[in-house]
Amino acid sequence: MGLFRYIVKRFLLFIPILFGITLVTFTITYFLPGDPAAVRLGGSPSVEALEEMRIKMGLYKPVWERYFIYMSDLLSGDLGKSYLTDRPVLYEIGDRVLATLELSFVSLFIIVVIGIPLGVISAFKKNSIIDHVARFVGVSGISIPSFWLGLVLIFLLFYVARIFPPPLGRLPPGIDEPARITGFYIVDSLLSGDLETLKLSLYYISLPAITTALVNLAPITRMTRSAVLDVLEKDYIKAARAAGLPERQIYKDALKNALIPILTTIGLSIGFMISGSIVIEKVFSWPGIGLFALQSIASNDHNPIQAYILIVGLTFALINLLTDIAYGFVDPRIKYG
Amino acid sequence: MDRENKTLTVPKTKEHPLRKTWRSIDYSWYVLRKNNLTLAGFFMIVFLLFLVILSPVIVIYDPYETDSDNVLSPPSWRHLFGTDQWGRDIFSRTIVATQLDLFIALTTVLASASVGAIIGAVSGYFGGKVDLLMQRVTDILLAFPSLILAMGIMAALGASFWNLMLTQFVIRIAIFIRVARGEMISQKENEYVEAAVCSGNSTSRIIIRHLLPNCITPVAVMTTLNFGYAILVTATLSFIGLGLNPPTAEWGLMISDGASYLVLGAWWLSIPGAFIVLAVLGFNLLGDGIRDLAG
Amino acid sequence: MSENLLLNVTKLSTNFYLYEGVMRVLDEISFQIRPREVFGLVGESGSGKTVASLSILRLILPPGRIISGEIFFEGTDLLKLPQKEFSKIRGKKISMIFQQSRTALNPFMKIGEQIARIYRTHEGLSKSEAMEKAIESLKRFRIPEAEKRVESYPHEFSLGMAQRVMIAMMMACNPKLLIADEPTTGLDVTTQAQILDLMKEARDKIGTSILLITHDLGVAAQTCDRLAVMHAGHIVEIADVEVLYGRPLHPYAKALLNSIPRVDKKVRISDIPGFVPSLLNPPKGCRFINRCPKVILGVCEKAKPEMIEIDRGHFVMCHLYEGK
Ligand SMILES: Nc1ncnc2c1ncn2[C@@H]1O[C@H](COP(=O)(O)OP(=O)(O)OP(=O)(O)O)[C@@H](O)[C@H]1O
Ligand SMILES: [Mg+2]
Repeated sequence: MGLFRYIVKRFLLFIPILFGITLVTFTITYFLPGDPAAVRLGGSPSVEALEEMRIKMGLYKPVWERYFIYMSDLLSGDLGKSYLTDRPVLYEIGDRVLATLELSFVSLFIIVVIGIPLGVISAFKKNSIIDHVARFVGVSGISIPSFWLGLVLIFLLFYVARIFPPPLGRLPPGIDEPARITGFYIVDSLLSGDLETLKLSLYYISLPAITTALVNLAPITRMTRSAVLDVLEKDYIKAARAAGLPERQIYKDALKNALIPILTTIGLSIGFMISGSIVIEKVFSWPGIGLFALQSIASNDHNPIQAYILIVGLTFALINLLTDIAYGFVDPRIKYG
Repeated sequence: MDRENKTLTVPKTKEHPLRKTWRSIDYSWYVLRKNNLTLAGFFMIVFLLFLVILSPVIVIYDPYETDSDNVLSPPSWRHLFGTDQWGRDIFSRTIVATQLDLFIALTTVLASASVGAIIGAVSGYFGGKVDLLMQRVTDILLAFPSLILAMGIMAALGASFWNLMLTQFVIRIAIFIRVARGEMISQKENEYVEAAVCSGNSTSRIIIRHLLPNCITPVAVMTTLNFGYAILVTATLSFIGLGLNPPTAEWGLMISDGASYLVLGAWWLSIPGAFIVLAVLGFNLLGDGIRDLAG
Repeated sequence: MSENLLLNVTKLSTNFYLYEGVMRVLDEISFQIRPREVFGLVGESGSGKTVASLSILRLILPPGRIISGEIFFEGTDLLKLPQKEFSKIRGKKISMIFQQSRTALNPFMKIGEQIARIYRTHEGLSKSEAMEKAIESLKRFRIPEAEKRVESYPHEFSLGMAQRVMIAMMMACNPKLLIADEPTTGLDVTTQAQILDLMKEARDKIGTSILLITHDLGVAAQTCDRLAVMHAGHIVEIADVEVLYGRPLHPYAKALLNSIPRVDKKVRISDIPGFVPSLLNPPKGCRFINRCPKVILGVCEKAKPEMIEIDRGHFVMCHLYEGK
């Protein structure tokens, strides 16, 4: 069957990319400043202790051997230890990934609910007032630096208007996190029936989510618009009109067929939100992987940095792969081709 | 589009590439006049360039001179945009920062556009093993979100002006290679290339005289759309401490400074932020217009 | 004669508003189609044939616009009908086969569904009834294994089969007029003949008139009753097929038809030297002036020639014949 072969082919093409990602990640880490041994030992260790540590950490081995070790560790699921905390990076990151994902999903929800209808309306009412406004808002959205927007919103909505909470992370200080089930505070507090925490976590996630959504709204709206417009200009839409089908039906067709490119943009947006989280998390002290990466850079803690770049690269590539595969499921030309 | 091929007026392929370029410049001006948003973008950029040109006249304070008696002061006639936490004049710093941010964006984007276009074009023209390798390299570079790639490289090299220039160059060269390569491959099929080959032109002459000029349009669109993004990347990297170092007068760094005094008011971060928005929006509006006219 | 017309197009003009300026693609074209007739429209690529057919169905999208003219169909002016009313005519009384049937079928929808929903729209049938009718119409146009094929997607059909599906779809409601825009371009000779036969059969059985747009003079000669020759947005000559092939009057038509040694031999129109003049800033007078061997200086470039009836039913638009 066509679909199966298509998916296998995609996966095969994915392998060299995976390899490339590890290569880039390794190279960047190799050149990171700071002496891992010194960071690992902390304090002011003696020259002998340092030397011993360097040998133990394999820093004197040739590059290719170090890459080989890195790869074999990676394949056995070992991302190394944080030099600072001496805990496995996987463990450190696992916690924070959920914070990043929770923020991304809430933002994505806002984007999908607002951005897609806006794009569809702009396309159907091309060159109307709504279209012009949506386009202008769209271009403005991608022209505003997210960190600045975050700061301005904090100033206006927290300091001045006092509507939103301070930018202090996922919950106010002193409040315990909900019983851990999924790691998403909203879901966990809901599941454990802790409505007070649910309210607080929704309250605390709102402003960072709105900021992320505003910055990422534009691409979705714009892509939706151009995808729908593209379909509307197709011959088969003309033919449907020539066959006298009602406009409502024609719009439905156009929407359905524009779904794939819209899907792709949603996928890309998730990627962008995860990479953009590094800035948003700093502004809102959101304890996700972005903030963790910045802290690790500041303290020369190599393994978490390496893991961060690897994870973001993998996620990005994986999303691309998944949207490709989604194409296969939706498009009959691939499915049965 | 296939509409193009249908007009039988004068066959497009016979038109000299330079003439085509000129026509597109002419058309650009037409679009500029017709489309208000594009025109607005154009004027935003012109305004900023104007400030840069006038900077010897309007920057009256040394942007690095501190003044401990006059810190965090609000706007006044003496200090148009007020002063920062070291008493430095924000207006002067903003203008100098405009110069710096625009310079970084323009030079690095143009550099990666021209180098990338040439690599992509040559690799697309000859194909073969080198082309395959080139494709894999661009695949890998494009596998990362460019901000993360930039962050990683800057973390490895350390924050500094030249490292930032290099990083900006590296993170977007892949996209230019890909665009130019794709265009070159579709151009190569055209009959006029065959004609040129048959009439005994040398390969380099064919590439330079016939093919490159025809690849310019998509590369140019890409270039304009990237100016804005490059400015955002500079500011963002500086903001997270991985771009330029304080006390450099740079928009992202100024916002980072202002963020520390947010409790006292948003004044210190709104000015540099507004300038970023002006510049990026200007380039994006302009780029949108150019993309529309390129089809 | 005018008492018995199905379609009467008078002085129809359509412009495209492009950045380079206004493109006068159709310049006051007029022609009539009678019931049960195959009316051919021939002309070079870019002469405006597709635009003419889209104009009749009011499918011209911005930047294009119909600027003037009348299109009377069974006594009502289509251009004056409200959108709602007009939708009821499209697909039911007038329908259109597109130049490339593959792209004119929705790639994401099974073809059975695509045909069935036309029955649902125009005849208010239920889902299952409509599907039965869809199968029936596929059979009518000789699609093998119609019951199975309704489940297929457009890309699974060969070009010729896709064209049949398109015809089945557009003939679903037995329209009075079928506009066929180059229905056989890109098909091999056998398939071409089959498709043309199918259409003629529909004319004979159902009485559908056909506006057949084509490049192919051989096809036109074999299929059409009357023929209009189009050049750069003008219809320059209209006549019965035998008359036109026997005694073409307009220099363009002459060049066109003289280049065919035998009627059944295929010669592409593009073999005529010179280019269609730019429709952007068309010459003020006759649009054939740059290519015409018989230019009357001082006349041809001054004014657009009138359409005159030389013989009964033989119209020509050329200064050579004015005052005769
Ligand atoms: N949507 C459009 N936008 C701009 N110009 C158009 C458009 N549609 C048609 N035209 C112009 O109108 C003219 C006539 O086009 P049309 O498609 O009717 O030609 P045609 O006679 O059908 O040619 P062909 O035999 O190639 O199908 C062409 O010069 C074309 O450039
Ligand atoms: Mg056509």
